[in-house]
Amino acid sequence: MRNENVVRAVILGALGLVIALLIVLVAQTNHLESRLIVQAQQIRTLGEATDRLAAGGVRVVGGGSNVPTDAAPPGVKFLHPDVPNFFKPKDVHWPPPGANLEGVLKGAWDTGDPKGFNPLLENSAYNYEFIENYVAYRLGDMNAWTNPSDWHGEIAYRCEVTDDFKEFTFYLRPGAKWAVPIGVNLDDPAHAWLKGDHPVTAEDYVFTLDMIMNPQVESGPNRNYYENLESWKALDATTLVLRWKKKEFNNVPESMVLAPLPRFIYTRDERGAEYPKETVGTNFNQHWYNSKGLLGSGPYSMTRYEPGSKLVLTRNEAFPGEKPAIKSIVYSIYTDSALTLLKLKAHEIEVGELRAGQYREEILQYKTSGKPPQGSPFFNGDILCDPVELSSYRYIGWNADRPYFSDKRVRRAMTMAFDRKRILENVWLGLGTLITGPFPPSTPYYDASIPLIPFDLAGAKKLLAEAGWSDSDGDGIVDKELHPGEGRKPFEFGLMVPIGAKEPTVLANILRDDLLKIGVKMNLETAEWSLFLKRTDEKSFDAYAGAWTTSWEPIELYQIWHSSQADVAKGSNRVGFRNKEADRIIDALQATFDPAERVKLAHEFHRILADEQPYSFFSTKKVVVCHWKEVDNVSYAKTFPNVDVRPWSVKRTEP
Amino acid sequence: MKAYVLRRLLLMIPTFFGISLILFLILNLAPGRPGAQQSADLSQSMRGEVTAESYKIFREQFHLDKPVLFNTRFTLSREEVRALVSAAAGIGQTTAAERVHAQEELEDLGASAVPHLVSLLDAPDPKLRDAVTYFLRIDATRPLITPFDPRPSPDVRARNRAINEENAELRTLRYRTEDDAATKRAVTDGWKRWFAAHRARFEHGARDKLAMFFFDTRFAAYWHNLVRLDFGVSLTSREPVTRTLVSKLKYSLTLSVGSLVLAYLIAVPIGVFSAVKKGSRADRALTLTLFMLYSLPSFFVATLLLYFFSQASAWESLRWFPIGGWQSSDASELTTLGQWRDIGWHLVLPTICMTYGSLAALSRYMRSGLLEVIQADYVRTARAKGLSERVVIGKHALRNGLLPILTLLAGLLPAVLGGSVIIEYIFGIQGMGLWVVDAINQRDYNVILAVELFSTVLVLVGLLLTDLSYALVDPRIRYE
Repeated sequence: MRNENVVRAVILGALGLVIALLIVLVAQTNHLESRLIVQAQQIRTLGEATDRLAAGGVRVVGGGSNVPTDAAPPGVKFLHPDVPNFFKPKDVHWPPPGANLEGVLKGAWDTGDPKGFNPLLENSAYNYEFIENYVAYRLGDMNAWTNPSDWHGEIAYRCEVTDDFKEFTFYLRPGAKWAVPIGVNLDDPAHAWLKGDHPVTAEDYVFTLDMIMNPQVESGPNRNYYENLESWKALDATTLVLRWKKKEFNNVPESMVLAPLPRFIYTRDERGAEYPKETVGTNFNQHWYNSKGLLGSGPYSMTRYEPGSKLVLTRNEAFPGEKPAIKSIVYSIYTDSALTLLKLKAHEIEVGELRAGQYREEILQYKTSGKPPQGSPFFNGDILCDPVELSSYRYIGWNADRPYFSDKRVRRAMTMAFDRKRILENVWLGLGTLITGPFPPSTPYYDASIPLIPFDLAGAKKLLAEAGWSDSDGDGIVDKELHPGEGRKPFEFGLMVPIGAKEPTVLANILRDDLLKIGVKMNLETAEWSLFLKRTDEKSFDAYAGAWTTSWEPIELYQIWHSSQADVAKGSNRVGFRNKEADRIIDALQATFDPAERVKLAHEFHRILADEQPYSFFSTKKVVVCHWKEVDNVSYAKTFPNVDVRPWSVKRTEP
Repeated sequence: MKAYVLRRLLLMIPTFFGISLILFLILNLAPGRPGAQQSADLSQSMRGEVTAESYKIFREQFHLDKPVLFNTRFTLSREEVRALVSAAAGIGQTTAAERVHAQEELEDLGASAVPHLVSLLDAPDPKLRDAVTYFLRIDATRPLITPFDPRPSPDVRARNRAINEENAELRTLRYRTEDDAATKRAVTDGWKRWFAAHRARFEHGARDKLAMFFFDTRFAAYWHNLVRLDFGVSLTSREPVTRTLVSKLKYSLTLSVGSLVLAYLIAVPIGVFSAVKKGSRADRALTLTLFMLYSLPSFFVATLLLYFFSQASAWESLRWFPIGGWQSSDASELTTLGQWRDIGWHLVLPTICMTYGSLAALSRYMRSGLLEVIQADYVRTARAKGLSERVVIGKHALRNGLLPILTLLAGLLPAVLGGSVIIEYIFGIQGMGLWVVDAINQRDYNVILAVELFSTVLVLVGLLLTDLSYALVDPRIRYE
């Protein structure tokens, strides 16, 4: 018995000793690790300081670098020296004078982990707005803050447009380099091939076009835009010639916005071995770098991606163009956009968009009545919010191939019964501008003289009667003989709304009540998003609530409004709009380059749509963008991406 | 016993096959198509449209162009193809839906439609002829052989080059509707010449047909990969599904194992207490509290917890926990120990949300299990021996009373890995639950199937473990 106790005590003592030693060990490792981390930080700061010294201490401040030139730099011979430079001077310059050049901006990425980063395969708006827009070094860019119809050069300092807008010759600025790849261990000898400087050349642009045009690459949507591209070649490392088959307005934006992909990475597997030439296209679809990041050469580089946590862009100090003031942009990745408000208040992020409901809760209700709660960051000047108009509009589409909506009087009656003003103010809390046509009201293409169709139930009822709809059996629903000999049918149709789309569902409920007052029965049909798309593709709907993203120049008209697209399977002319005059204008707009002439044509087109009412055009989309007070020089671009932080700065510097 | 386990393990194979067949059928028959972009605010841009050519490559790559179970395409007749082409071209009375279906069907038919399409090149209707050359261009092009092989043999390379060249040549065999008759004739002649040269490719013997019937299908292609434990790549992210699945386990496992352990640690003492003080006021109060907790939905509690105890709390003294996520954004600057603490800190609120609901059920199981034991003869004997109540309950009764809720554990196995969609969504943790829901919305078949089959295996194993654990703890149960 005593013996047993002794043995037990010894075992317990030994165990205790082992645990104590373990704790000491863990504590020591932890201490060591924290010292290493501090050292690493010091080394990094030191490195940055030397970089800055080496760069001459002061960074290039806006101006000189993006001024278009007509004189050839030494060693370069222009192919068409007599042709004036197509580029205009850049409109907005950064960094703003006196701005803090060390600021860090913390933003929100509220849609969960990105699916991939390859811009030719991914169509996500977030990828475009938050990554590609900052890391891509495009040939040219829109003057997005003043007049987006004008283009200035980015990597190209000169663009010669010859042969009746069919040939575009770009001269590239030398000195741009591809960023350092991320997500791979560069110290591993297998990745040694990724190290070193890789210059950006005209060959990279040619390679990108090769991929877009390669039938094995799943980039169909992009290929559509380049269908009329006849040839693309690099004359040397800095000269790129694009030739289009015919003179079309779209040639200009499509030539300019081309963002290059690094050829040296996308033609090789992870160990650096070149793919067999004939399978480069298929391998591109599943390329190993697609999930790691987007390798750019623009003002920012993607320097870190931690799935489920954050994505970091850091200013590219080797960038030869204008460098923005903000040193790095850190996006927090999360999934519930309701968290944006909480994170903003907790100062975890500095820029974020509020949902309509949050906007009402936090701001709107106190603006009209009552005192805001004490210490509300939205009222004590900590957080500033601006409703920003996006390039996007909402509408209800009426399927003209269905007997109910084939008559334009009926469609107009629908618009009259659609209380757009009340719905915009109460459901969308005024976040938008009422519109009468498909162009953004901020562009000259929108004809502001076209009057808004008023909300008028009596007028709507009269129009329906003119179109032959009347209540013959006294059941409160108007009816009409749609096909001779088939008897009178009541006016009952379905409005399709995606499941979970909160505001459109409320819109549908209000519309249903108003329509019932004029004897039309509307049923709300909710469809899950992939089913919604399938039904619009198959045109098996009566009406649906939708939205389109628009661009500054009216370049999408053909797909959405041309008669020929009404019968194309899965075409975007879903409502079956067929109008000879509209077709003529669409074709004419494609061949017209004179700004005044284009505006005239667009206004004519706008008038036709306002008369035909294929859609009940509803409103543009505004979002409430909020930012903390230390974010400075905030301005918004006139076209997508409207929230572009390159001219911004942040006063506070991260420790 | 060994024979029993072996028999059960062998039985799992046909069960697994049957379940996979059912899952596969349900998935493939569900409406909607893969490849649709998710859009929360119904905004669409023109870049979201997918063109026929890309879409076909996409479908080929994932075998979505093949029939689901049995392939009877070799019985396709010229008239059927003619009907499809005229429907797709909008000849006669067709609705837009019929056009879309006919077009998709023709694009999927691939090589099996080619001979019929060629024979329709001389059809009298010009509109039909135009459509025929369009579909020939899509259906006659061939996919590459093993395109992802990093070091293909010279033979494969040569054949792939030949395929690329042929495809490129076929793509040039096109004309526009407004071209003159001679140009059109040249193109149709080109197609006929090409077909005559490659006729053998489209003729199949009886054995080929039998093989096609069973093996040239979506299900066969999927199983072919599955037996090599290859779940394929995600249709949306193109990442290998297995790799993503493993990376997601980190999040879901920590969360669910943590909450499971916590639930047992709390529920067992509560159950013991309730059993010992059965019927007392304290027991009733506990029961009521637990059931009230049980009836609170977790999304509500999660929001409340975030509102009161997170960094965004209106009360500064209550800002104890982070707003969500897995780690702080500066976690990479922390030591390993610091990182663990950081993760633990982030997991407090989600773990609470996942735990409190299961307390009621678990503690009830514990209570009733213990009550049953307390009435047993040996407990009475122990009491009669004069042992203290603490020893009677803690040493004799508790061990046996624990058995029922321990066997529950095996049944919880699949739930442990399944993750909780709602909690993951609210707290922004990119675990299994969110991943699967996202996959369902996007019709990402490979991901859905992989996760479902994974949990099938877990259910099967869990059932076996449950049965075995019964035998293990209760010697009266024996499997022969």
